[in-house]
Amino acid sequence: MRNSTIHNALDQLDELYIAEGIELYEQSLIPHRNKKILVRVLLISALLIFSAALLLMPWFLTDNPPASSSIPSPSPSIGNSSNSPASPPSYYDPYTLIDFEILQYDGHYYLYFPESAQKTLQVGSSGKGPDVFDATTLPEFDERTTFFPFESVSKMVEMFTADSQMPLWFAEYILEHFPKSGDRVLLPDFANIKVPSLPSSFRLGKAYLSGEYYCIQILSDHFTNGLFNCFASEEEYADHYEEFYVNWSEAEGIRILKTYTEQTDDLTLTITDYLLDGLKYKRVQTTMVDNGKTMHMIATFPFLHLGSTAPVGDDVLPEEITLYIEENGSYGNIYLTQFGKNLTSEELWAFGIENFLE
Amino acid sequence: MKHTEHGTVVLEDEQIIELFLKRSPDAIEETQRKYARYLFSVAKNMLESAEDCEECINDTYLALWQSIPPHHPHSFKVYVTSLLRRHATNIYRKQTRQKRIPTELIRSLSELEYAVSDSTFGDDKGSQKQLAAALNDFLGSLPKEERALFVCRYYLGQSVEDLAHTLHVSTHVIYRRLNKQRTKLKDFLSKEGYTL
Repeated sequence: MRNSTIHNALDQLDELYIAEGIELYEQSLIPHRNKKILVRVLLISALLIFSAALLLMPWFLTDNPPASSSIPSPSPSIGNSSNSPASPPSYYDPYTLIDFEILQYDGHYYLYFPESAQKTLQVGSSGKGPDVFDATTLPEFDERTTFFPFESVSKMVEMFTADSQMPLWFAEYILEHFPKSGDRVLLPDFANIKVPSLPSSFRLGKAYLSGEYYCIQILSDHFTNGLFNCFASEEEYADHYEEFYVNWSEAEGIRILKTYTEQTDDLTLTITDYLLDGLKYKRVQTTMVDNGKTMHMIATFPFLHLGSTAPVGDDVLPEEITLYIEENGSYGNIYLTQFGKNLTSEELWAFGIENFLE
Repeated sequence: MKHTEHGTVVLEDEQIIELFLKRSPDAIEETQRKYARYLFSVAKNMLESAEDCEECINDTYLALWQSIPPHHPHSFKVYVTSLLRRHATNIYRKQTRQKRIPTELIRSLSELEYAVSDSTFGDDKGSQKQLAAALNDFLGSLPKEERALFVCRYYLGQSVEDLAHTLHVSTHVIYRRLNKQRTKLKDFLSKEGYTL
């Protein structure tokens, strides 16, 4: 007897029995009140925020809108030759993803880091450098507290593949429980491009070069995961490029408000404000030439005032995140202060951001 | 309408079915809102990559859109799950032409195969139907909790670890219960005359 025979026979089980099983199955998806649930979360949302923030880094560092001359030259101390992409540095060693627990109380969620992670988590909460976070000081049930506890982007990507239902859940609770009235949260919400032929819409993430391949990252409509689709040829990539990079504004429901472009020798920054479903977005497309190949990266920032669906003004964006570069030895550390996480050059390299830093 | 554990307002299943019947574009959105996480979780038991899971779920949404109407499912949840299983199977079969990746569902089916391996069922459709009837009879003889466990493991492909977590017991306990079920099933099939 083959598995398929049993599988097909199971398809004919009584609906009542299946419903009973589903009921039990769904219990595994529900976080219980006041019960500590150990969850390994892949923070793809944070990852995307970082990548998006990096795109906008030159912009944030200068006045808005950016002028050609305002795009900073790469620091000579960043990405020195001994750590070039050609010779992967030792910090590619796997890190341990920090486990943390989700506490649910009185309708809110809290993150709690277990003892094992207390001394290893570094949080750049003040923007003045990494602090060792002592989870024992966390006011468990008094305040809402957000931390993004991941140690390695490479580990995140690995986990993302293995356990990708988590980002959906994580994104959901961030969106639904953490924002307070007046909060402004940068969502990892990318160009909300509707693909007419599919029942679901997709959000465009970023595309980048990886070795010999062109990769494009697409976030699904419901935050379940990001997809890293790699194309073996420029032609194959070009089809997607047309759809997502050239003709994106023709997608249903998008109304362009304004577009402006800044250009240097090897980098073009195209910033577009647009409306979609009553919300205002700012889309930043970066096109850069790397070793004769063109690389495009896109970040889209929803101007969403959480707690309401009213669009907010252009002045929001600089307040949402604060980025600055601090020289530290031979590398530059970038602190993403709003989200309580310092992004190290190691993580940048692991994520393939080195092109930005060289 | 009702609230989820996250506070999201979701429609009742019957309301979602009504949206499908009215050909409302909101039908898919509401299905996603309510079931996206569940569907992805089940798909992940059956498929290896996140990309395949996404494809499978999108196929499922499309199938819902195409089949309701005229179909009016008695249980929307069961129906959407059965569609998901069907599409997951198709994708899995496509994959396995290139390489075989044992998913949790395949592992669970292999366990179950042991229980029915000595039976007289063949691989034809008639045998599948006969086996389905036998399985339904067998499940009918089990207490509700055991039935649910059986469905979670063998129909939804839930991992032993997840089951243990859900039921707040050790994996050892789950293994023991499942093993007991398989032995019972073997005996049941033998008593009912399905064994050579």
